[in-house]
Amino acid sequence: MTIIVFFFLLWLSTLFIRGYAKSNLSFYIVYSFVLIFFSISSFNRMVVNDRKNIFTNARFWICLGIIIFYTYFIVVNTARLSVLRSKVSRHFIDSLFEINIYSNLLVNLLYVMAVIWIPRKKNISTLF
Amino acid sequence: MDPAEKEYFNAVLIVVIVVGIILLYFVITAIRYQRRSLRLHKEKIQAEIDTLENERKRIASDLHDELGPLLSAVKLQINNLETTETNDMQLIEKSSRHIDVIIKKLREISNDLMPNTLLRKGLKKAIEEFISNSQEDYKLPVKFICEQELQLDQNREINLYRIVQEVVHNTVKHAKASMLIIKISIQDNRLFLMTADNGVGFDYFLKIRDNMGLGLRNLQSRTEVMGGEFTCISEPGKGVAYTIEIPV
Repeated sequence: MTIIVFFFLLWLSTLFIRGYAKSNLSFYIVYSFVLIFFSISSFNRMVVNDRKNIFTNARFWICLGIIIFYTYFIVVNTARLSVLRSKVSRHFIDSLFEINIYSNLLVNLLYVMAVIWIPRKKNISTLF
Repeated sequence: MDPAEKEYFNAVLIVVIVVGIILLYFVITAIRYQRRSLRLHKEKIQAEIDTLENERKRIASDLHDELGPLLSAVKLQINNLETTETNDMQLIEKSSRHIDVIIKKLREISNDLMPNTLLRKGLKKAIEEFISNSQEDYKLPVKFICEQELQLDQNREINLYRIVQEVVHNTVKHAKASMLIIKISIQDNRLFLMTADNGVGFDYFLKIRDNMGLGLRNLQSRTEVMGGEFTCISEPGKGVAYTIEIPV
């Protein structure tokens, strides 16, 4: 809850400082970091505690997807942030976005794996 | 793109590749360690269970084969004593009765440790015998349903028998139930052991978060060793239902 409130306030403050017409790149980077940290922590917990084949765990694929996608998201947005003040061509910006397109494709394939391994509802009939 | 932009874009691409390699290495090593840890965990549990079962077998056979005949011999010798005094005769009779009780208890302990029926007649008969004894001892009505013949290796039979023993003990100790149903069935090369009671139940997720308890952990470990899945469904006031699913 604290984290949600903190991020809401951070988002509001950056929105007021920069205005809502522009992309809020610093906020994108901060929330990407937080998502990656949460995913790594969840991933590590699975590695330590999971007693089944980890590939059959949907959470594993989701965490992997989040780590990969948001790592590249940070790289791309950091690059955009650093060239923001200089005049760059449209082609350059598009090329940067292409990295996101490929990472997005990869992540969606990982999410497909997650969907495949969603635990099936067990057909347990009660004996009473 | 002008040359400066191209140079900058190439630098970004290099960063992307380096990050990709690091991520790939991170994931591969994590998976390798998880697999190794899983294998070691299973081996450790298997070793613990084997040691426990071997020790039980040894103690059971020592009690049954060594102490049992010895006590019978003592009883025979006492009964052979010749006396005309009433006090002595009463003492002999009392001692003989005590020895009978000790022999009976010894057999019960030996049977609890490693039931002969399980080794000789198989799981189904052993569970039936255990349930019949439990009903006498604990006054808990237990219904056992098993319509198929079970052809399992001895390790699995012992593990499943111990699971049933644990469930019955847990129900008697904690559930305050008036009925326990145990069902074993085989469907599509999978064995299902289902149990359900109508007792007080508990909050399973709260229980595993706080402290799982030795009994529940034991059920889970034995299921894991057999490569199966353990499910517990319980809510306060709604009884407890366990499902153990193992490949056969």
